Amino acid sequence: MDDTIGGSGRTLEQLSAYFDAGRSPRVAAIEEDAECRAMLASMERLSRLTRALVVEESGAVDAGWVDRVLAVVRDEVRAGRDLPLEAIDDRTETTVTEGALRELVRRAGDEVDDVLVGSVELRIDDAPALHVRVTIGVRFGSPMRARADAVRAAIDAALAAHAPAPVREIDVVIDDVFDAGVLDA
Amino acid sequence: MSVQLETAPDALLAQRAKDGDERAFAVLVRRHSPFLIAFATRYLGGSSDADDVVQEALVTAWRQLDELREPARVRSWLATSVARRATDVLRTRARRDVQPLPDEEGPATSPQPDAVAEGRAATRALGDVLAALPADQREVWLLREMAELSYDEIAARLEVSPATVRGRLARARGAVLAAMAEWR
Repeated sequence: MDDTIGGSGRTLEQLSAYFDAGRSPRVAAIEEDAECRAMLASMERLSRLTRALVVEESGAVDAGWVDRVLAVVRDEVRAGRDLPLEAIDDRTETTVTEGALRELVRRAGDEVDDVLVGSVELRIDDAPALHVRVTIGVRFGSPMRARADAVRAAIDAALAAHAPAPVREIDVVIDDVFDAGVLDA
Repeated sequence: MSVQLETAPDALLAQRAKDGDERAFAVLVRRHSPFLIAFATRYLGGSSDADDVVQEALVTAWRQLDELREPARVRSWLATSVARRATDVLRTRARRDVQPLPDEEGPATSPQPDAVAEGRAATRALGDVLAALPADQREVWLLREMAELSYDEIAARLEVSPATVRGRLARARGAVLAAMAEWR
């Protein structure tokens, strides 16, 4: 185990850690040694072979099994906080869950062409007024500014009827550009 | 045109799932279950428990999504959850002294001439070598090479030091390299 490889003065363990660090920062004593380079190339081939093994062994999953997993998940809805809606009178209180409000925001944003909503943050200040921050992914080649504006408008419209407090601001952050397929119209 | 959720990148789906979007989580489950079951099967040493382990790990993951720090690496994170559950199963088995089921694959057949068969023979040979590794070495190999965890993440999962991970992984690599010498 403590034997060094080639003329590098490095052990297999050091070489293995160097490989896992992505061969960076570059160590000349290793990179200039033919035996070390051959060893690193072998490690790389084994990594590729492992990935091939994973693909070969990743068979189709039974649809019934997937349905059972998802049925359990659906039974454990993570609704988040209850947010009180503006009271109509003193005797009744109506609340909306944070989860339901997030779903509303997501659906509104998803309706915009070439856009999928990522995360949705909701905050109610002392006023009380609602602050919304969403991240979105936009399909490659789509006009980003226009899409972000459209998302903001769609969320504003959707919240107008349902928000627990007046909407103060809606921040839209584009944090993903993806090359994805589209739903046939 | 609306974008299909099924085509969204992992990071976006994982963020939505964190916010409680079960549809996004469903897409992740469908996308990564084949890998997770293959990973669990290897981790358990070839076993019929893999489906149950992955099912329980996914439900646990859904409950603990708040702890997911890097949404883009959700596959590795799910594999960590699978590894945790699989470790429990292995411990229970060890206590009961039950032998794991034999690997369903037969012994490696002699390589066939065409390239695809040759590739398959190489992966099968690797599979046999991994199955024959000492358990502690196979574990770090699978967490590093299959689940793509960092040394620190593996160390946290196994409750050992990163230096121990580094040593075990090097021994595993040495053993696999030696056993696979004819495939180089």
